[in-house]
Amino acid sequence: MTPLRVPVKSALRATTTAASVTRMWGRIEARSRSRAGAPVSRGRMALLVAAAILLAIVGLAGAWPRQGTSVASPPGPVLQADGDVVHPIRVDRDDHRLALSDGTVITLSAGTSLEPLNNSEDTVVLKQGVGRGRYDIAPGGPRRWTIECGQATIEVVGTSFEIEKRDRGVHVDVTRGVVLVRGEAVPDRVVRLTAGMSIDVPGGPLGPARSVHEGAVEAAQPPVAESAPSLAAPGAPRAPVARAWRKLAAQGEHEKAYTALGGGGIAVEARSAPVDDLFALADVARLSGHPGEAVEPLRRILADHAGDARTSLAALTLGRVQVRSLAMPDAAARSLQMAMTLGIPSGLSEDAHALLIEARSTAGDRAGARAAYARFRLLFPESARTSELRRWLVEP
Amino acid sequence: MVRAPARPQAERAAAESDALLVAGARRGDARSKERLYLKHVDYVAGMCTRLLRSTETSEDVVQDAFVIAFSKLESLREPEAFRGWLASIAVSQVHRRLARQRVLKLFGLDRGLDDAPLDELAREDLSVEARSELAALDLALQQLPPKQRIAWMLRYVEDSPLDAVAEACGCSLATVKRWISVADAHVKAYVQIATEDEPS
Repeated sequence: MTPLRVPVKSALRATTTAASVTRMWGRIEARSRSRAGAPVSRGRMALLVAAAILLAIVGLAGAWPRQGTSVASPPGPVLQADGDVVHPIRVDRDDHRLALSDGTVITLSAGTSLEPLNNSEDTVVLKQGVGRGRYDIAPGGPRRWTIECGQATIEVVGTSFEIEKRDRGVHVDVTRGVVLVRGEAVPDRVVRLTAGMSIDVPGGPLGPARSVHEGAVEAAQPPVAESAPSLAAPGAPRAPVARAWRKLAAQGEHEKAYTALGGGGIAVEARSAPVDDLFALADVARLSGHPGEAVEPLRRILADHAGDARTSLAALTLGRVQVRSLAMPDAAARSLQMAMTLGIPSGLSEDAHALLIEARSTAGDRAGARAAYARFRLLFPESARTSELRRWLVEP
Repeated sequence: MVRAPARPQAERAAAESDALLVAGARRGDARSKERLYLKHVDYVAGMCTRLLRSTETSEDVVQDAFVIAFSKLESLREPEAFRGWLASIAVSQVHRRLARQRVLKLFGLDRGLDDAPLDELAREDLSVEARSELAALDLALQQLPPKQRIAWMLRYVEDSPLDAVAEACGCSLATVKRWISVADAHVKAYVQIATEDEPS
C-alpha cells in the first residue's frame, strides 16, 4: 500500500497563521489605498509606460526594490493607515496591530508600549518598552527606521523582524532584510543581522541606552586588548597586522594569528576583507578556540558576497559553528538550510544533512529532525551514518 | 485602536457566497473585501507556498494576487467563480516570480530561502515512510520545468480539476494534459503515488 495519496495536500499542514493573515491584510489594505488615484492623461500614461518598462528591465537584476512590495509614500511623516498621526501606544490586553500609511505593519503584544520619538519624511525613531513587537517595515520606502529598546538600538531599511524586550535583555530576530543592532553589550557595539539571524543582548547595569541621531552612523570601536600582545598599537596603521596574521594563518599557526590580530581584530579586519580573507579569519577564530568570533566574517560572506560560489560553504561552516560550539541550534538549522538552498558541493552534502538532523533535534524540533532524517535516508541510502543518526530522533 | 481582521470572521465569511461578497466589494464595501480575503487567503497562501517552496516569497505573491484581484473586480464575469479567478491570478504571479528568481540566480542576486519543501510541510502525525515519499516527491518535482511542475502540482497536490488547471496555467486543456502526463511519468520514477487513473 502506497504511503502517499492524492491530493497530496491532505498530508500537509496549513501554511498560514493568524499573524501572517493579519500581516498580509495590512499590506493589501495599504497598497490598495495607494493604488487609488486621479486619472492620468494619455501623454503622461505613455511616459509612465516607458518608464515602467525601463524599470522592469532594471528590476529583473534586482537593482530596485521588489515589484509590488513597496508603497509610494507621500512626503512628510508616516501616518497611520487611517490617516491619523502616530500616537504613543500602550497595549492593554489583546495584541495590537498598527498599520501605517507606507505599508508598514507593527504588531505589539499585550503590555507593550511604543512611543514615536521622531517621525519625518526620511526618518522614523520609535521607542519600544518591555514586551514583544513584530515589525514588518515596507521595503523600498524613503525612511530609515530606528527602534530604541533600552540595551539595544535597531536600525532598519525595509525588513521584517521581531524585538522582545525583557527585564534582563533584548532579543532581536530577523525574518527578512538587514538590521543593524547597536548597544554597549553588543559585540563590537554593533552587529549586522540578515534574514534568519538573531541576537540576545544581555541586560544589567549598562547605563542609559545611546540614541542614534538622525543621519549619523557611528563606527564601532573595537575594545582595547588588555593582556594580549598586539603588533598594532591603537591608532597605528593596520597593514603590518594584516600581513602578519595572514602569514601565520597560512602556516597553520592560528593561535599566533589570533594574537597578532589582537582583541576585536577579527571583526575589524572583516569590515573590509575580501572573501578569501573572510574565510581565513573565520578559520583563525575557530581553530584558535574563539568560535564566537567566526560568526562575523562568515556573516559578511553571506551578506556582502552573495554572488561568490563559496557562499554555501560559508553557510555550512556557520551552521557547524552554531550547533557544535555556540549552542545556537535554531540559528544553525537556518544556516544549514541556507547552505542547502545555495547548493552544497556533493562531497559535503551528507555532512550538511546530518548536521541539520542534529541541529533540529538539539533545538527540540523533533518533527523537523524526523523530516531531515527521512530526507537523509532518501539522499544517502548507503550511508554508514544512518544508524548513528537515529539517536537524534529519540526523546531525551 | 486599529481594527484587525479576527479569525472568527473567517468562519462567518465562509458562509457568505462569493457572488454576494464580490457585489459588496464592487460597491466599495470594505467589509466585503475583507471577508473575500479571509475566505480565500488560506487556500491561495497554501497553494503559493507549496508551488514556491518559500513562505516569504509566498506572502509577497499572495499580497500581489489580492491587490490585483481587488483592482480588477469589475472585469470578473462570474462573481461566484471568484476563487478560481483569484487562483489564476496567483499562479500567474508565481510564474513571474519563478522567472525572476531564475534571472537573479544567474547573477547570484537571489537571496530567498527555500524553507518550505513538501516534506517540511508534512502534518505532525505523518509516518516516516510518508515523509520520505514527500521528500522524494519534492526532489522529483524540482527536476521538472516550471510549467510541468506547476501543472502537476495544481492537479495532484492542490486537487484542482483539469479545466481549472488549464485556466490557471493559461493554456489549452490538451496542453495541460500533456504537461501533467510527462510530469507524472517522471514523478513515478521516484515516488510511490497513485494518481487518478491508477488503483492505490
